[in-house]
Amino acid sequence: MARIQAITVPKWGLTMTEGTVSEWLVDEGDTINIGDPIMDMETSKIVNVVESIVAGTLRRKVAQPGDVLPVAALMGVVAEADVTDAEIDEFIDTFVIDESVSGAPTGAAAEGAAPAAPPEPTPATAAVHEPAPTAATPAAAPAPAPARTGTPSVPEALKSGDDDSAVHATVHARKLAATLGVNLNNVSGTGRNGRVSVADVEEAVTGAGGSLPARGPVERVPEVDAVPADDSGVAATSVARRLAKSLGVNLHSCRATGRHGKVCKYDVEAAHALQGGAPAPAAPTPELAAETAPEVEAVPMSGMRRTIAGRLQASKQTIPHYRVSMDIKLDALLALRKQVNDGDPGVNVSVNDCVVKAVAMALVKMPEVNVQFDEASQTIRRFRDADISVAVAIDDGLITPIVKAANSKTLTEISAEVRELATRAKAGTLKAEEFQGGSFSISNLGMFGVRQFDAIINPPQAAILAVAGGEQRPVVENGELTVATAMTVSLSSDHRVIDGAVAAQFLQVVKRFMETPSLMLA
Amino acid sequence: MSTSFDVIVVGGGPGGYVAAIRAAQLGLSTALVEKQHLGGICLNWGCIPTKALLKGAEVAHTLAHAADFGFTTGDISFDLKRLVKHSRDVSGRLAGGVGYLMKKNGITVVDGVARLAGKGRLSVDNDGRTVEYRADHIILATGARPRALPGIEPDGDRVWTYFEAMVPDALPQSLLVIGSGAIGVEFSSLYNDLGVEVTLVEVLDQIMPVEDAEVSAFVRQLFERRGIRVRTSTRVTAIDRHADSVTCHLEGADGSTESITVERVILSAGIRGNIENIGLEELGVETAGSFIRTDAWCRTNVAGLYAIGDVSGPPCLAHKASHEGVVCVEKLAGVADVRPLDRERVPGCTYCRPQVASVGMTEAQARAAGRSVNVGRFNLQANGKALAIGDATGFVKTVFDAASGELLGAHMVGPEMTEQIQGFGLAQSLEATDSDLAHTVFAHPTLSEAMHEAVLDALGRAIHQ
Amino acid sequence: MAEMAMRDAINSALAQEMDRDERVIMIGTDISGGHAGSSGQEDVAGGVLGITKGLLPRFGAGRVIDTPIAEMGYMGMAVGAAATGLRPVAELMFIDFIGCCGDMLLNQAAKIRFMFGGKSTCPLVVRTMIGAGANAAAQHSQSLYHWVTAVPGLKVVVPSNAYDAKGLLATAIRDDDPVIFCEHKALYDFPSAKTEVPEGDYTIPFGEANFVTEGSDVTVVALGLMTHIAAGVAAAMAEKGISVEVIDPRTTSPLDEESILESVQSTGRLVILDESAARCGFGHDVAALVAQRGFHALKAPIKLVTPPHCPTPFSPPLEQAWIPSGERVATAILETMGLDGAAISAALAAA
Repeated sequence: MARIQAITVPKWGLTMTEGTVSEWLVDEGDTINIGDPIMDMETSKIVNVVESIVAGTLRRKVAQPGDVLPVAALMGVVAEADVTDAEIDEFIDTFVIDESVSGAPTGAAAEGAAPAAPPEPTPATAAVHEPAPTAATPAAAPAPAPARTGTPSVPEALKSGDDDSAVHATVHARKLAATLGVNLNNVSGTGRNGRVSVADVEEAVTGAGGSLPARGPVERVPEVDAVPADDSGVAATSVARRLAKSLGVNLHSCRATGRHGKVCKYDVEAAHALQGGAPAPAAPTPELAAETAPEVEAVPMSGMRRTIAGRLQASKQTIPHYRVSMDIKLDALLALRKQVNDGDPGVNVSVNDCVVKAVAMALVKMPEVNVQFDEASQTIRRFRDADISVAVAIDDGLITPIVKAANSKTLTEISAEVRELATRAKAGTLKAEEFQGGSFSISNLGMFGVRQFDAIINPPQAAILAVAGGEQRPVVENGELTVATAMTVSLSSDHRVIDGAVAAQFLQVVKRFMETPSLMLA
Repeated sequence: MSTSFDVIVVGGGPGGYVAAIRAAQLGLSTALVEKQHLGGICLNWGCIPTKALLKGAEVAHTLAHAADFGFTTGDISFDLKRLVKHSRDVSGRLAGGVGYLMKKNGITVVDGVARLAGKGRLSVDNDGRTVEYRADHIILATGARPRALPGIEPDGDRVWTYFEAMVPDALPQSLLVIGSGAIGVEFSSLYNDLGVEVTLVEVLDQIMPVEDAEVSAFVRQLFERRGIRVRTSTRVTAIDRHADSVTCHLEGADGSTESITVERVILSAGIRGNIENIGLEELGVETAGSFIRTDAWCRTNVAGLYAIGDVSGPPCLAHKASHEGVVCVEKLAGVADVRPLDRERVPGCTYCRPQVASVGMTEAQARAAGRSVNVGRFNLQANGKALAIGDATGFVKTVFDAASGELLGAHMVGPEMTEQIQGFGLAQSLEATDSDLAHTVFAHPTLSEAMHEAVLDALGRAIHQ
Repeated sequence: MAEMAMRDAINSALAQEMDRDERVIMIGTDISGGHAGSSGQEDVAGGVLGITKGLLPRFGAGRVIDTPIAEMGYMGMAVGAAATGLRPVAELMFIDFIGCCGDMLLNQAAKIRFMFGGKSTCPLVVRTMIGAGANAAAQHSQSLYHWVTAVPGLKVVVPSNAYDAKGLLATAIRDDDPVIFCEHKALYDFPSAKTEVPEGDYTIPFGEANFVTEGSDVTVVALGLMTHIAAGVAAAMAEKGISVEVIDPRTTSPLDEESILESVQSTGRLVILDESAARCGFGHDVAALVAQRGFHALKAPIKLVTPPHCPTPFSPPLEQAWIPSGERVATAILETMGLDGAAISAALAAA
């Protein structure tokens, strides 16, 4: 416990800046306890009782009734019996208002430097202003950081005192106090349960005008070999682990080529050889190697392969697919195509280009198919334009470049665009926006002579049309057996957002456009 | 074997095989159809084997002047067959290298004669067996062949084209060369160096008509000094073929006539594109003269059909064909930042002695285009390195736009000039000005210092003359 | 003063507090039986591990309340009792089953004081077993004190020896707030957890760390069983001239941040040995504390030694490999001292 303590003007509420002393309720020499009423004080709002926040003997009344004092100003001094009057005088002389409590720029007021006087300045009572000459002493500053000089100096006042072994302090606070010769009885603890911390000891020293030993720069440990010694976390086969231990090889230094990414015996031997150890046992003879060569080659999945695998598996597992198939006669369309291609050397329209065109027009007619399904928000995104993704097979995968707004493009424009997109897909020069999105997909395997197949929806789209090859088939028309060129298309739809009847009607529209292609111009 | 590809290239010359490699590099499935030799004329009958022969001519010239360097050579014998064999060996090795490149890039090489069978379709005939191929993109790189003149058709015996001129059994006593383009001038120089009596006939008013007039005049002067008879503004009206000689009837623009009897005639009066029998007519492919009409991206008027190299028009040079092959493929594959070929910036090199190299406009072309020009010249007589190697015959000429300082053209004649012209090509491509070039440090002692001085001269401040 | 095992120290603290305050009661599965104790065989075992032996005969079934294996029910009962005036000590046999008591502890006990504006308190102690090493497999081996530490309103104690256990349990029972008292099952009979324990009444305040060893080179923070591993390593390191300060925070909530920061300030190196978790565990909390407030004192990166991020294996050799080992702690210490992998291997081989 500190030996001398101040009684100061309390701060009752945010707006209180000063108080007027009405009457002391105790006398000098009285013993007071924490919580005892000691004074009546009047503020601009109320008259209230000041309760003591310290305990001890009231040795000096600094404030007198009628004094108007700022918050945190000194009103009285409590001290133990053995404190001399001289010490109390010195305490009063050096007392400085704690600005953090007063919330007022007392320093400025004391120096009288403020050009415009604050409203009702009244900082002045004789009691408060007595210590004015000392206001500029170093201790007056709100000590931002403990002063650290080369040589510590501890004021004698902090060193004396009774046996402090019972004072509640942290291990390091006690060590520091011992080093500095500070008696812990002179330090007030601010920690949990009043425990004294290192910071408390330091503050006591600097608060009393002392200084602390300089703290040198921290010398950091240099970075070392990145291979940690502890290799117990490395996955390894038991043989490899044992071998590594016997060879002194750190498993971190080994390439893991074993199953499940484990370091295997071969890896340890290789690492050992690399580190200049004895060569690994000779490789198996070619005949042996041939015999033991695996029958199955493990081919790692490319990033694209994994994406395809993940997306299509998710699609097939989560989307309730159903399929609707329809045969479409192509004779009229092929005739139109021939006419177009013969008429202009700059045009080379394929059947697939016609499918894209017909589907685009059908999608505009039936916007309920031209949708994406946002599962997270349970909303259906209906598109104004038909952005048609055309599946293109490329090395080790497929990609779906998009013919954007195909509904507003001519057959020749679609044809040129599909050819360009397909080539660029293979050359890997598509930009992301050219293959991401789309409102509908078309997959055409007709060139392989496929008669019919089903496709998996490309989410978040809700439908995909699988287009097979055109071929001559016997058909019965008006009771007569004739030959027609026909192909089978199969529409896979997401039943959550497209119902069977809608899918069927959509195929009807596609069929009508393709079998009567002049409608596409109408 | 698959018959469906993303890209099929017709013709395995420096345009076609380069296009095929680039397509394969970009991940496109690619086939190359070649009827005879991978590598085309360039590797087999053009650039490369002639350079091998010309090296022989240069050696002959060096030996003749060995005394200048203190050598006594005595009696020198020459075996023509050995020189021809060297030339053929080089061709063979390079053509083999092209085959390796095809294989390495996974390009399917189809032997046979291709013919367009429709849009995106190609039928290839190999000894009567026809296979049809399909491709989204078909690139024609069928090249060109010597142009025949009526009545002077090559016969492979007395009237040669460059094919026969490349592999002579024996040196003729005398030779008349019709046409003074790069091929005619190179063979004139070659055979002259090998001791053949050469007459060079050009219908226009200067030899090497595409070159700057000063260069042309300079070369003509040197040729005549070497004993080559040069006739400009002169046509060969007819020839009489004899048992082992040919009498050529010449007619000057002024009406004068002359008859010259020589052992052999080389016909090098230009070339024409190989546009016949490949199905262009049925598809309605537009042509211009004997060449296929293309746009800046080598596209023809037919969807999915392209033409590059000689068959798409002059300049009929291997490096132009290669460059077009790359531009064409990169454009169709969507590679970013492709730029069309600027045909004005294709350098030309003629490997006669002295060598001629040029890029850009001649002075006359620049003036005809209405440009105000600054011309600089520098004679190799003032170039230390040229004197040191004993060949200071030649000069460098630069043509700059007076207003912008742009390098419009550069014309060089002299030793090793073909190796240096790309310095000016680079400057043009980077749009360097006369002052940029003047600020560039050229190493000493090099022949290229003459390039620097020619630039400085255009600025009126050449140092060494 | 007699030397006591931690089991006996806990038993003695319970008896002492029940003597001292009749509002203290005990609730829990098998606390008066164990070994499937049937009628007439009560207190034969004294709980599954004998911790509560002798308390039933002494205080009667009215204050030592045995319950079925129904954590949800009896924990609710305990919280209710605490809110209405008793001071129950509930036993959750294994902390692994804290999920069954989720609402009672996390949302009721921890929050009652705050939801009622301080007019009600919840003087509840939950004694529970933590820790691996007993071949008890993944569902009976966890050290989930970091879970409860993360819940404001709960105080969390992880004693490491008999003396601390008695003093801390007395404090816990006298505390007006809910306390989760985590007893490592390997420590009940652990030789070095046996200490002199005063027979009389004493308490140890929460939030004050115990300095197991004092040292100047490296600070090691460890709790419960881990403090003994750390102390062993510290002794071995002392032989190599490396002075290790082992701090046992004793309570994770409140945490004696001050002592940890002051120690790191003096050593400049920190290794945290923690059985709780490889991710988001107690060790990570301490590391974050020092990274934020003690960074400038650090001479080397902070090292954490924890089990791998996987359930505790049942296989005894795998379980032993899972528990943070002295070798790993020693390696971490040597790494903070700036030794490279080869030097560490050599140092460990020499040990």
